[in-house]
Amino acid sequence: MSKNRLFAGSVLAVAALLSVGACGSSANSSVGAQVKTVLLANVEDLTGPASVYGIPESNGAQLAVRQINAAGGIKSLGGAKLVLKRFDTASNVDAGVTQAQAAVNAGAAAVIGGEISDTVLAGTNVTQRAGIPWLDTGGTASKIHQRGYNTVFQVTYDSAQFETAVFDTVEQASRQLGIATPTLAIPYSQSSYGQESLQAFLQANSGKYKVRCEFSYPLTTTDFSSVAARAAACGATDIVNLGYPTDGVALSRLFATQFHPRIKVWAATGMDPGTAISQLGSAANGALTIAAPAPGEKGVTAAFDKEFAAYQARFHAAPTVTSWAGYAAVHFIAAALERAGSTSGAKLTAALHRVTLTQGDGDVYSYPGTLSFTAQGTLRTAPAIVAEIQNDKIVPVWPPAYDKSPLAAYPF
Amino acid sequence: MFAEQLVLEGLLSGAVYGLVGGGFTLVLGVGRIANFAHGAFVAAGLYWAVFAQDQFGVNPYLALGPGLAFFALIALGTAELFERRGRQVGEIGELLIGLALLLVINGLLEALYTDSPRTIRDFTLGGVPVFGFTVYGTQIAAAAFTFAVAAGIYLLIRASRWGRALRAVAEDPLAAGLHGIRVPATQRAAVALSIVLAAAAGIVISPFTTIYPQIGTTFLITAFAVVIVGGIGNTFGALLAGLGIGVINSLAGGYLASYWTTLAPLILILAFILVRRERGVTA
Repeated sequence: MSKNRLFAGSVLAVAALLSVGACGSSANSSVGAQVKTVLLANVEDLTGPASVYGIPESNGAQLAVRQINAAGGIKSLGGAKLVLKRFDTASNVDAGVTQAQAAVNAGAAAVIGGEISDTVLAGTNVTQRAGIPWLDTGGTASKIHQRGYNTVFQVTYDSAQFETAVFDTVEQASRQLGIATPTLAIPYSQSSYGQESLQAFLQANSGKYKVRCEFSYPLTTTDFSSVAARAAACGATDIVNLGYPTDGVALSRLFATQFHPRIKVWAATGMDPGTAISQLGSAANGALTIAAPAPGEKGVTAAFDKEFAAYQARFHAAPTVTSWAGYAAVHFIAAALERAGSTSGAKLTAALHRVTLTQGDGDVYSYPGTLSFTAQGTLRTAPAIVAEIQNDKIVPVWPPAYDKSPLAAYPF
Repeated sequence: MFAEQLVLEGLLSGAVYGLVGGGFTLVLGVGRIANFAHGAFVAAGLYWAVFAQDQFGVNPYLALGPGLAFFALIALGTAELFERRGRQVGEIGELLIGLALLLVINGLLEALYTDSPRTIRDFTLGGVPVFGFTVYGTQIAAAAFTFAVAAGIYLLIRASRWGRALRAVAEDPLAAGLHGIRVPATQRAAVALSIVLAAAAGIVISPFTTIYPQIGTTFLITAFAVVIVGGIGNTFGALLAGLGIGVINSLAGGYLASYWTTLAPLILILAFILVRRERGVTA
């Protein structure tokens, strides 16, 4: 009996030693010039409501991977090629955990993606434990970087940066349009995104403009008539909607064709301007919305024009805000891999905190000139552009680089 | 002025709820099936209008006739599916078929049209300024269509032989069968008619609706509310219930915090369940 126990104990001990050895060799294999491919996991909402952001993000990431590989791959890893594997979270928050775990199990060196903050919050619990970096391309919740996770990086604006941009634009618009006493009506989505956006927006406002009314509406709202009526009845000079793309389109149409609010500024922050123009036509005019850079704009680089054309040629669609976030995320990882010379999660994470993307080398934005992360993992300066839809065209009006763009009063 | 706006908007929305609920009450009352795909067929009708405009430049009203023919075929196939496959397994089977159809229709719409919101562009019947806002001609047309359909079904059920068969099956399928009524055929017809009505509702409301693939789910929840308040199998009750729920939703959205917008109709439903009579609001 005792011999049997001894034998069993020996077997267990040997097995344990072998498994430790195996772990060690796995880690060692990530260092040096023998790596032929580096697996990047694209944990993303490729189906479901958030796929309107997720698919362009994934396309942008694919474009960057293709270009980096065509340029010789990761040179410090002997020309290792990047491989992007997609894991669909299907706009389902719970899938954030399961797909992140699948990505870790697949041996991903890093994860990019995520359009719903709650999905990113859930998924990054897994990657933080595994010690591999996650570059968040669409989750804007400040909570994402406020948990002290060193492996999480937001390659997009967080709520505070975004709403500061929105408030700055509203302030700029009110000033340019000569509104003596600007007042605000703020309908917002009754979701964690909408509520955090409201807090960030009110913080940016910090009592400067009087809020005539602020009210939420359910996430499941399909008929926005009562929301439009209520916002119009507030008697504010500016209406700011903190909601989703469908909310902005529905409210823009109701304001332009049914309720005709007596306002000067209408900001639909979640609305995609391209969709608004294609679906609403002239009813979209006068709306302020977040926008992606476009060729021919002031300050846009030649490199951007080239990337824009490459994206259009490959995906037969114009890139969106999230396309460039996905694109930048892959470039961040590539730059970090070059710097670290390793796919080890710890080294890659450390390198990500140090790399800077410059214009023409991963940073396609005309503003800011460079992209890099703070110690908390947020971008030092977020590349937010606010545009006004004028004559069915997207006219950037913020950041200050666009300060001289003529801003028109609503209704246009 | 604001209250009047909300009431009028509520009545217009309520007419749509009545139309959607009218079909659902048939499938529940006569077909005895909780068709979870009912709202998805409303979404399919909405996208039929989008398809007609995208492909042929046709407005939703011109697309209504071919749409009814197309959805009648789909509806007959679906009714057959419920009858042949669903009933063999029992109520669970019917629920699963409904859920599967809901997922398939949502998935197809998403695959074909993505999740970007869509609208019917450049089509208007003008508008009438009332209480400081504009009521679209298309909204008035949708309300008129609802009243016409409700009246038509009411007459059909009350005055035709087939309508009597529907009522008999709704009352007691076993007794109806013993009296020589072909119960499965009647139930199939009710299911098919409800699907056609759902799709027709989608086509008719498309000119003033912001369309996205998951929109049907909200219509399904509303349809349940309408049927509970209006009474199962009662299309006239569904219309009245739809109008009532529309007004309550609108007033709640205009005056109360957002959670009350969701809760108000649910509280109304619970109240009706507690005190209701057999035929709902028209009892």
